[in-house]
Amino acid sequence: MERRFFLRCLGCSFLASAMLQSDFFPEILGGLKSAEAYSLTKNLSSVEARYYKKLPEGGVECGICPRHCRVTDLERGYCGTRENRANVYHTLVYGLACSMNIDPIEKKPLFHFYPGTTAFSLATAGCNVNCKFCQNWDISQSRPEQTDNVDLPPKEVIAICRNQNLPTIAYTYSEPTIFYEYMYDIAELGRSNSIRSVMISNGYMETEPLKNLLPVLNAVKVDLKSIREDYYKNIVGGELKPVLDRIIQIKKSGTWLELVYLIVPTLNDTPEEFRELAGWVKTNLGTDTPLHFSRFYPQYLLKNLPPTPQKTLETAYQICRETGLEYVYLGNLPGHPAESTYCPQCGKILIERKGYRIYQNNIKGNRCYNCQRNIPGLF
Amino acid sequence: MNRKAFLLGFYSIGGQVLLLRELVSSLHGDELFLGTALFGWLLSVASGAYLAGKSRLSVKTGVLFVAGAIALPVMLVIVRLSTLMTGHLIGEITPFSTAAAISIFFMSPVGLISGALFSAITREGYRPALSIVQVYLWEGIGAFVGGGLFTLLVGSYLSTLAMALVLSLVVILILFSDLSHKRTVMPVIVAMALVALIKSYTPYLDRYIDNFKYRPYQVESSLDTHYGHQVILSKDSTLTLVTDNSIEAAYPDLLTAENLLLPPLAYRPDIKNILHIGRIEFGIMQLADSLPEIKITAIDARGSLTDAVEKIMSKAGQSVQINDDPLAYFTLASPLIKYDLIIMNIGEPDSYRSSRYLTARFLNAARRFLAPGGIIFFPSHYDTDRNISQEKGKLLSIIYNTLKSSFTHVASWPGDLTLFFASDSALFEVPVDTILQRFSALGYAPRFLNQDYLPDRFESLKVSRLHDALNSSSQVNSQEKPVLVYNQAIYRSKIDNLDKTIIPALYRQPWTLAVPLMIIVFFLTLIFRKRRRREFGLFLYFAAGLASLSLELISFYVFQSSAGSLYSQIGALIGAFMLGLALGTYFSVRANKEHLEFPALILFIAAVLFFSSTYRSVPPRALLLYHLLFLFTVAVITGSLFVAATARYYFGRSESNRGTGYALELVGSALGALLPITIFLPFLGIPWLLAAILIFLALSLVGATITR
Repeated sequence: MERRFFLRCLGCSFLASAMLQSDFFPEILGGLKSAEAYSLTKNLSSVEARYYKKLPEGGVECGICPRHCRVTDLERGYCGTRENRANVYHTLVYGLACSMNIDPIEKKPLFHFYPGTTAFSLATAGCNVNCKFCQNWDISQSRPEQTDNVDLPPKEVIAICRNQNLPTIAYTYSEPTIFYEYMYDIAELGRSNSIRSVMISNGYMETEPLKNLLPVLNAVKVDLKSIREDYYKNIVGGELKPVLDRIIQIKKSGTWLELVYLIVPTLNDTPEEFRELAGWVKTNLGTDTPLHFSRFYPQYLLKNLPPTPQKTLETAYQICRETGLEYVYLGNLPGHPAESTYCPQCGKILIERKGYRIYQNNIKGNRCYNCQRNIPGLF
Repeated sequence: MNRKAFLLGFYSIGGQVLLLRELVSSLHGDELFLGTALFGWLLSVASGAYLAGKSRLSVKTGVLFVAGAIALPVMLVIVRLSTLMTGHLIGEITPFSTAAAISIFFMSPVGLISGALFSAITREGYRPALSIVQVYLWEGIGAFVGGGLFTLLVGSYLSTLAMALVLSLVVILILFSDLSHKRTVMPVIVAMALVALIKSYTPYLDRYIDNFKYRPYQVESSLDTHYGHQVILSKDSTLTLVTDNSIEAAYPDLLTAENLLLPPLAYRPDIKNILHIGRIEFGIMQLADSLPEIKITAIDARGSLTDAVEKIMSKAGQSVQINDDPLAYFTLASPLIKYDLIIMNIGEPDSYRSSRYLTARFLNAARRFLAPGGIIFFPSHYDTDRNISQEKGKLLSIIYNTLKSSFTHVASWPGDLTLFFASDSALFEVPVDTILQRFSALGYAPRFLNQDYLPDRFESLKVSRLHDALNSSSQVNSQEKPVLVYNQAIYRSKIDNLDKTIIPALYRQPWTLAVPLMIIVFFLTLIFRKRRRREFGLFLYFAAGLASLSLELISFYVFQSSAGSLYSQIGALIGAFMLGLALGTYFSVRANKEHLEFPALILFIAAVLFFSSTYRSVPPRALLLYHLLFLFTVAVITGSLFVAATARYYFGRSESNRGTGYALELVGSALGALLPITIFLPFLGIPWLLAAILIFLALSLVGATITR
């Protein structure tokens, strides 16, 4: 075949494919386009973000989390929810909740925070890390235009809580740091309406935003995913040190703090790691900080890893108790004694839990009903 | 006999089948992956043939055979450990793009050698047209023998790795033994001794590799079944059943066990007879002792796995194990026993094997086995507890619509596992309080399905969100148009940035439709502009490859979506195809008739028409025979077309590149492997795919007439 002839044939073929890509045959192709994709894009918010600085060379530097993304015009940060538009940094998720639920507070889990109450839980798309085991990867690893969002400004969130008599709002599922402005405004408005706010976070936030946020929050639960830097680097896609620093910052601020450690088989489940964790908590936060061990279930990228064996959870529990931690809990093991709260002094059961349900609460004014020992938390 | 060509066929089909099986098993590949892997294989064979066909390159066949014999088992081990090499963690999903890259990369050495061998062997002949046809003939016979052997031996007697070692051994021994002499006893004895050695010691090697791959888990058992590779792992008193590198079940896992067995009891507390599709030892048998009044029958085709499991776990409760494919069981067995409940524990519908259960064909067959008021229960693995993405919503909606197309009443529960119930009786209008009451009245006190959890599971926002999702699509999954598996691929593509770009683009963007148009425009321009007889010979090579591989892949799909397994029979199916090619080629050469392309193309059209009108009505037990015969027929016709194309292009040209025609046929084959099933099936469905092939063949016939 002559080369020129071949090229002509090829040209014809490309012309045909170009016609197909255009609206040349709209009646054939129209049905294949996703109409929803376009309407969702229109719904993004354009509220100016907080904690960023304009760079002299152009672009902006985000200051909300330790990533400090440098973002040029029309680009977004790592989280995919904050965009530079003509050197003004915008949050694209303000008022756009992609997940809403009414959850028992025990599901967060917060065990020393008004046990037996419920929380209006909400999230937007996006996250500032990429944990390979993420339970909410469908929204946390999506951009806001890829999720179904509900237009829910802070006032409406408060209205829902008041109408349904929900005492607490939980910023959860994805990472609240990336919808900081939205969370802050709801929490501030909630405070003036006697509605509490709790943040369920990975702790990967910058010092200054956290410092300003803590006064409007009532409690924080931090997912401390590991006590090893390489785990954060390889499995989480973040850094350990800023997380540890923020946990200490929260503790020092006096805002109620609980920690969760998700035990992922083969990745962060050795007794040495449990010992390091317990030692760090004891030294830096004190023995009265509640520490929850959670059971891993196959999710997201780690879909082919089995659930955490009960024995591993019990080993972690045992090590932490031996180290001196007073409030250690095991999650996703309903009926296990380590779901309940015991008085560290007299050993009496203070709060009996099964799953998300409270069977008895024997704490009277933050004290053990039996020996009057002070029990930390908000009850 | 052309011994080298025979060995080439034997080696080539072995390389293809064993590597494909290993790739699918190690990377948990779905059908998109299978098409891509075949595409890569065929392209590498084409490249090998073309490169070695260039007269400047001259490699001895003996060297190529030895290189191939070494490469196959080595590549097999590399494929098995490939996920570790790409930095994936144990238990981490391999994204489609990574899996596709691995398959193309690791299949290419064996593919290149196979292709190069074809050209090298043909070069040893005198006249090009004759030598090509002769090699083609013996290659086909070798492939048929090899394919049959692999189907018989792999999974039953030998593991994939053992088979690869035996194959390499056989190739080397036959190549270097003087079989024309009478002193053949010694090599045969040596060969048998070596095969016995391989059979005895490869299980240790397989286990050693699994130990390395799954550390820090302890490997309790490692075996191949007809369906794939099975490993049972243990750690911290927990057993895990791994099938093709993905978790099928774990023990103990009470959360899953309760979700698999108890929910239908909320609607029918009197359930006694249960049929469970899938293994029960790691799942619902944990509860069997607590519910002694329930009798569970499990159906699963992996008989050898039953033996392996029984060595590790003690059998609990009253259970019956049927070693059969569920569809075959439902279609043929007379329903003497009727079940109150059929549990479809099939995992995610990410393959034709699992998604075929969610079709009207299967559901209607299963209905015959339901007692009055019986329930079909599908505990899906989709988490709808906190949110439902658009992609997940569409999947759930397709499942719901499919169940609804067969049953009058369908209900669903949100949660970490989204549950579907279907029945012809109105059972599902039960308030949550009654459900709680019924669960508390069971002989067993549920730990997860009780008042501590269920009020949260049935929280109104969750229920209404699931309701909205179920109504988000009107699509129904069927064998003709298996939309479920493709939507699953789109959903899973979100895990990886590259997948996120590639897979939705393939299935949501219309540009993919441009590819066949490009081919047709190219073809029409070619034939109408110059009316070149010889160049049309090249097109016939291409047409033979494209049409035959398209039909081969369609046949694979129909077979797998009906019979369940494919990877054990793929050797026989490809072997039958290769034998057809050989015989078609041989008889066409012997007939020595001009213009063979005309009867060949007309017969091709007739074969497609016959398949179109019969494939739906084949009984499950006759499936293998039907598809063997169909592929054989298609291949005979392809062989004739190959001869016709060779006669047109190579006639009187001894200096031309003898790999060109073969390479073009393989390019056509590669496109045939990739396009119809991997890309077009969810858009067109089987009937329209077959119609497209008919149009293509008819146009080829017109072209052949014009350029006559």
